[in-house]
Amino acid sequence: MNLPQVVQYCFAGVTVGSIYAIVAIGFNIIYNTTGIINFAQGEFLIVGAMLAISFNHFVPLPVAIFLAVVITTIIGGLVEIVFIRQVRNASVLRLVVITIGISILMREAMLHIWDEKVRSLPYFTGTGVSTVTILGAHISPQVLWVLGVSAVIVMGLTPFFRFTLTGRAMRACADDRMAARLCGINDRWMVTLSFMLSAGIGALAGCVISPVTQTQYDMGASLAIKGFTVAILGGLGNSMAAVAAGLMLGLVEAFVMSQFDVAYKEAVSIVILLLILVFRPSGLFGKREIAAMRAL
Amino acid sequence: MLKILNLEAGYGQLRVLKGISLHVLPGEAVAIIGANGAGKTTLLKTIAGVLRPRSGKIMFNKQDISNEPLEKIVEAGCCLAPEGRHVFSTMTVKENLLLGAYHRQRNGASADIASSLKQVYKLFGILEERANQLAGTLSGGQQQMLAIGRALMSGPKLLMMDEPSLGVAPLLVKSIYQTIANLKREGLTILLVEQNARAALALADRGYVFETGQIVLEGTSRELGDNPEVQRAYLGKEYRRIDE
Repeated sequence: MNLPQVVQYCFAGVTVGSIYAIVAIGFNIIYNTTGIINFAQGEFLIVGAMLAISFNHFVPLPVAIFLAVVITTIIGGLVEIVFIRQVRNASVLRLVVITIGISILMREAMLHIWDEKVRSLPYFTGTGVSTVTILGAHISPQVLWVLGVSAVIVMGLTPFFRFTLTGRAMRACADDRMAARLCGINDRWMVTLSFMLSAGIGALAGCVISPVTQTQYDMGASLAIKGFTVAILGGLGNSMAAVAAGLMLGLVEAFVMSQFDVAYKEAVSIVILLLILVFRPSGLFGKREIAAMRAL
Repeated sequence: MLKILNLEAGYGQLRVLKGISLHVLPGEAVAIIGANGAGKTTLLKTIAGVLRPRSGKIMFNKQDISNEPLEKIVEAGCCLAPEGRHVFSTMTVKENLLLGAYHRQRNGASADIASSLKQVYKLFGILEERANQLAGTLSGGQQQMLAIGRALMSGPKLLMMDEPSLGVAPLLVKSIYQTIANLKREGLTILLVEQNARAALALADRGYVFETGQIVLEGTSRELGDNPEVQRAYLGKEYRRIDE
């Protein structure tokens, strides 16, 4: 492999990886406030993209994406209020099964609304064939959009959780639910908010990748599995580790594809998931210290 | 300030509180003592709104709070520093304290919050020194100070404390109790649950003795301290009496 080829594969890997990371962050936000894995996370991406594609017939692209993100955010909130909140004293397993049910429901609803046709948003800048040349490699400008938006999402979430009252309250709920309630934090509203936030950033991610990967009603499940792999790989609940794990998995997949058949790509990520679950269940960047602190 | 009438509460099938009636006057410090499983913690959790009462009434400042949501109870000025401290261990000391003032921040009283923060730092100097350290790295006693400080940040009229001496080094227990005494002197109303009956009765004006979900004795701290039954069961004076 020469340099331009390496650069090319790197970009491909990092692009895919950053999307995995965003799906994983969606998982983490909800996991942190509720302790459950929301398997409908992948569907939020597809709903977001589909809505934007439909709106784009009537309004310009940025407006369409904005509307799609807002509506998906609301859908995320409704999902929590209608399906999760009603279940009193539910075990984690029951809630997880409910989220699987929600994902099937959303998928079938999308099949009815948008049929099985493969659609996509137009490229944000340029067209499908325009490229930017970096170090001899030809990169689609959309790839740069994906990277940029992912970076903005990740960098926006950090100050949100660190410095805003709501972000801190969400972390407090994740840390110690009862203490958060004793501080007067409405924990149920925080859970709703975490679903809205996950749905919102999911929708935004779905829109940015749509031109590259296309969008079809049933693509959410495979995205969710990859995002889940990455979330486990980084250590559940740790969003910064999810970014590192996502980029790593993306790069591994890209270079596996460059050397072997495309079919091995999926196998590699599942093998990584299995290895991690067997040998380092707390994740690569396992937060053992924090876990130990929580046990105190 | 606080008046409880015939309160019953429990977990699932378990009936823990079997008709509790008690009151706390403004400016008073009241101790609840009793053995493990007597229902002391359950009582505080029920007042704070973590548990719902089965029957009975909780009146706080003439307002019925028995079925109010937790947020409203905190906002009304009734705050609990829970047993086992429950600090946010993955957040810094300062973040913990600011979250204590959550409802006041939402109502935009940032000047009051800054002065409360200063006040808490004055009470517990160590918290200011460790302001940017993760709460999980503090010692047990420091975490207890943080839990009390966090409760104070909500600007309570009634501060409830559940076992502030549990798992705290003896030297720090003394200093924590001194601080609580200072708070009392400044006019804060205090409801205290303790297994360390000696420390609790030394601080409190009055006390109630719990046994299996019922009040078996009540009186001023002096009366309770002189009561032979209390001495035997909770103050560990049995052996001395045998010696005499």
